[in-house]
Amino acid sequence: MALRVSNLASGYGRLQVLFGVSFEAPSGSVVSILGPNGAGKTTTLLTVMGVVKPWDGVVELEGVDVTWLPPHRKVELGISLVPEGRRLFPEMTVEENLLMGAYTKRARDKIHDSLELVYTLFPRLKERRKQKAGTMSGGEQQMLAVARALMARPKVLLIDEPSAGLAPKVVADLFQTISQLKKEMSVLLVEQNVAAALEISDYSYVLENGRIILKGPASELVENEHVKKAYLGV
Amino acid sequence: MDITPYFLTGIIIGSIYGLTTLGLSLIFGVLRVANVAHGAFIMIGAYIAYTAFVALAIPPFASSLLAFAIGIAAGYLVYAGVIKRLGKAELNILVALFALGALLAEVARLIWGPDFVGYRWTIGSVEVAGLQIELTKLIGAILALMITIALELVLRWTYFGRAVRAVVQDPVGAMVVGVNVDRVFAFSSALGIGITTLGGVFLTLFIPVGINPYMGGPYTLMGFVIAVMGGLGSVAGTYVAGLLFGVFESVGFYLFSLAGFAEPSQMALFLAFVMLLLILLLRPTGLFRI
Repeated sequence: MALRVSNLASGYGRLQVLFGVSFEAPSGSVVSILGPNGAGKTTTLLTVMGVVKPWDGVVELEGVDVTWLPPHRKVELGISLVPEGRRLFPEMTVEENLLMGAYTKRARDKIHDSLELVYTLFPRLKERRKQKAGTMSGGEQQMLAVARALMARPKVLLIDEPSAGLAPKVVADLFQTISQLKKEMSVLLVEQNVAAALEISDYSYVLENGRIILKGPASELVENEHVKKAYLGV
Repeated sequence: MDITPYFLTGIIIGSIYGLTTLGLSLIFGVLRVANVAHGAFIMIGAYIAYTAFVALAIPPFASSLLAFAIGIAAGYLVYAGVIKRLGKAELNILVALFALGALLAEVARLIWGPDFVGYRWTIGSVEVAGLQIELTKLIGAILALMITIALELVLRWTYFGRAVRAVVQDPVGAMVVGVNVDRVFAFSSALGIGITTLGGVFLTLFIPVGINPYMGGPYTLMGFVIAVMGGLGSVAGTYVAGLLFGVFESVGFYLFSLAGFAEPSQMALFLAFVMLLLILLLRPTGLFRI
């Protein structure tokens, strides 16, 4: 199992957000965590990444316990995050952002291969490589955020709300690309856009109030009454 | 009315102002901490230059290396002992640094006494546009420019330098691409205060009788003006703002004394603050961005 999370609890200050969240993300698949605003989706990813300190629980990467490692060690070991709000370096060019993505030692050795790879995946970024990241459109910035995370050569790619603020056509293209990525790694997607996410997911979890309340293959969840009523509006 | 000599004098002292402010700007840009003890480290550097010259006959360009090393050690301790320990309590950090600045001044008074001291080191002068410029000052100004360029190159072209800029632009973004943000913080604090102490040594070339335990205060204030003008965190911007400040101070002094003001140097300072306000109004991010 590429990523296994068991009974994860965390929060901010004295405010607990996650109450024992467990899920798995095998390589070669897209797994999504769906849920409403404030359910703890972003907190889940930040805690897996170590940006938010876990209170309890276990995070395993390929069977190795990495729960307490700081983010930079996790990146080195193969977990990458495309964070909420993209978190690009606005005053750096597209290419400088990508080079920053390959900051870890492991990624630095493959930097030329990786650049070629992400430019093939996102030809638009190659056209814009000398442009400052902060001056690009939302869709291009989201592409860059995904590409930057890929530069680290992750085994597990965590993507937080990639559809936020993007036009439907742009979302469709981006999701198409994301669904291709699973050939090389395990993709864990967090989304409010439930319909789009279920379409490319192999397996999904529904997170509400910091707890997983539902899980199953995406094809089954589409038919689930709660999911239909609460998220798909049918 | 020829302002050329005043302009040149302003450029030369401005180069030193730029150098002494790089550390303040770097620390604010990276750690988001306003180092209110800034002037105290300039003072430490000045006393190192003074002691090395008077007691050991070591010229300032040599003792600046010692001051740099001491500043780096001090900067690391400030990070590990104060900033990291107090973590997110920003106001506590500010108060602690203020206390540290006062403490350093008192320690300096115990060691060197309360009087103004200084030294004069002459190795000749050159004539530029009708103005006699002391070689020590000219060399100091050129070295300050070279140190600034070196810092800019490190930040722009090395992996670690790029990581420092990444932390300035988005700390969370830096964290998730694998930058050890804690190490960048420690490095920036050490390097920033190292450059500040080194700048204090250079400054003594311009203030032959101006070294005093309490000299830091005005330099802290001036540092913030220059750093904000240049764009906090920007090396090139800080240096250029330092030059501007030097020119305003020098040319302003001349023009205000011509116009018959009683306190021309105070008026020149006033002009510098007017310029700061204008820059903040027209370009709130400062002249440059990192």
